[in-house]
Amino acid sequence: MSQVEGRRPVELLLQVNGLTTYFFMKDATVRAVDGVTFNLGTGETYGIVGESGSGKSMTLKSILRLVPPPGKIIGGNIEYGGLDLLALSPAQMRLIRGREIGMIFQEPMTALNPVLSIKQQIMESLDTEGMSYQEKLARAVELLKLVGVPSAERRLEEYPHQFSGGMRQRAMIAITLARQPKILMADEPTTALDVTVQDQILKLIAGLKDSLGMSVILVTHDLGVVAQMCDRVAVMYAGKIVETADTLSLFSSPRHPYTIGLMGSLPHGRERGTKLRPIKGFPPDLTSLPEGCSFAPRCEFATVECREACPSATEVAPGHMASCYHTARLVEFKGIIEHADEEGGS
Amino acid sequence: MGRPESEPQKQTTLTVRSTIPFWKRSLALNIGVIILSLVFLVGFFPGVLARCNPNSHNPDLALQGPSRDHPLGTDNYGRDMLSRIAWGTRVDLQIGIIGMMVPFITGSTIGVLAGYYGGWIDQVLMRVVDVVVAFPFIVLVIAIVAVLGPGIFNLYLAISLVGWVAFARLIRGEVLVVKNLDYINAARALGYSDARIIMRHVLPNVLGSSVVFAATDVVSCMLAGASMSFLGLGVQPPIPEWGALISDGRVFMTSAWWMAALPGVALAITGTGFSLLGDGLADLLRTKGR
Repeated sequence: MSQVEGRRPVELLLQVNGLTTYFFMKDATVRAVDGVTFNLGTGETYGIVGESGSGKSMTLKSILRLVPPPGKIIGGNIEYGGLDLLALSPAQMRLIRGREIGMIFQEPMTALNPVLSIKQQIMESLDTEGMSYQEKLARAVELLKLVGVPSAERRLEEYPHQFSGGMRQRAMIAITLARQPKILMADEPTTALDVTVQDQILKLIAGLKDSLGMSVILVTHDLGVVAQMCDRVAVMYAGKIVETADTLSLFSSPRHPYTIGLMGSLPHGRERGTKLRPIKGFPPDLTSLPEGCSFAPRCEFATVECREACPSATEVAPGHMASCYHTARLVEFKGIIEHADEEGGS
Repeated sequence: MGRPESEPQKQTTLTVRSTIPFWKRSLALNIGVIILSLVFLVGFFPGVLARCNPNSHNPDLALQGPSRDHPLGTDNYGRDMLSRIAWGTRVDLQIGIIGMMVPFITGSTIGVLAGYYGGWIDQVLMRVVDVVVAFPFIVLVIAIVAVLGPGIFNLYLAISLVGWVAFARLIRGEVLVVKNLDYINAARALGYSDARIIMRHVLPNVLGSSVVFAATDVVSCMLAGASMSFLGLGVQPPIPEWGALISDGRVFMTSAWWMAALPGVALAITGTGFSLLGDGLADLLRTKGR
């Protein structure tokens, strides 16, 4: 696992500052991404976790400026290689997509064009300058082998419907890699796949990241995937990053009640007999977020303070930020909860 | 989904299914193709049926019923009806196909642009479509030809000016669905240009239904052409065209039924052929949905 290597000094590749994307509907404004700030180092795998509708996918789409209408990026900046992506012209932005920052999608069943063969789709994605057909074909075979599709020469001729889900996701990765991106953004790449295949795809992405020297942004709702893959993690709730830390610290000492809640709702292999602790209430309505902390209505630790003003991110440990007034007391609280669980379970 | 990977056997079953020859998949398509092959054969080589010059008058033989020399009888100038219908095939196919092709191309282009880009382009184009759709097809064609003057070129122009709206609507609807699918998002995320996405990724996935519609649209264009000629606004005499032949024969309906009825039969057969072709193509597209 890469987090074992610890926090190495990294060169920043991508910096997202205060990214804000709202959807302007007829009678309401959905605050899908609300001031998201994070950075990605070279060779790093950065995880973004959160439940459905927390804005994690929209964060990725905003980075590529592919927010569908009526959504609009209304604030922040995205720095990549000395450029502010939000200030680029559409034509310049097109050169960033795919070639610098590639993206793979959640649904491999629909992410491939059904009327084009896998060969056509990979070869289309190759940067074609000065390459003959034979060279391109050889490169396509090479890519398909790289992503672990067996008998690549033959399968290259096939169409997406002849591929299984896992194979399609591999093909999708091959198409994305054909552009040689420096950052690979994966939007729930394994959610639609079987558990056994999930693991293969994750290992594939991790392996490719190392061998090709890419950086990865991995969006998922699965904390297990984060633990397996990521160097650092951001936890998103209601369009905001509520906590960010390196994976080890996040799992060992979560400092935001929502993160604690997420982990409490996760089954642990060893702790047989303990009850899962679901987070009370429902995901918030993004059109009418409460004043103050968005999580306050569901939070067991919420105080008057929380309902009045939104807490800003504070550094609770080096490189560990949490947006909560009660970060200090939480450590104590967490102990109490676990103690209560043990008693209740035995 | 999630099938254990690399299993040769599963692939063979898939391959077998996808190699069912297309002619075994739709009976309607086969019949339609057979009818249309015969019609097109006559259209390209009227000589296979026509033994006389379709325009040579022979007053001695006027208004004769079907006989060995003239299997479909003669008209009021003694012209051989079989020859006139055979030569008319070419004219009618031409009207049907040109009258379909031009709107197909312009309508599809407009529909794709409106659907893909949306926004004010879409609003403007679709309001124009609404206006055109508000008039019955044939009424608008008659009105345009009446303004421009009769003749085959003006007929094409009128059909093209009216016919594109159906294709534009159809394609736009399909584009609205397809443009939000993941593979279009994926294509955008790869940095493909709009032109490339439209031509290579959107169009091939939305053309299916309009190809089916085009097959039946040929029929309505032929009928429109025939109606216009019937009214004297389309093909001008003495060029043999089925609608014009029906119009000529109308006066002699009681004494020489073959003059009006048989060109109508020719029109019906051709129309059936195109309809079956359209149905068959629709069948094929349905079986393609896996």
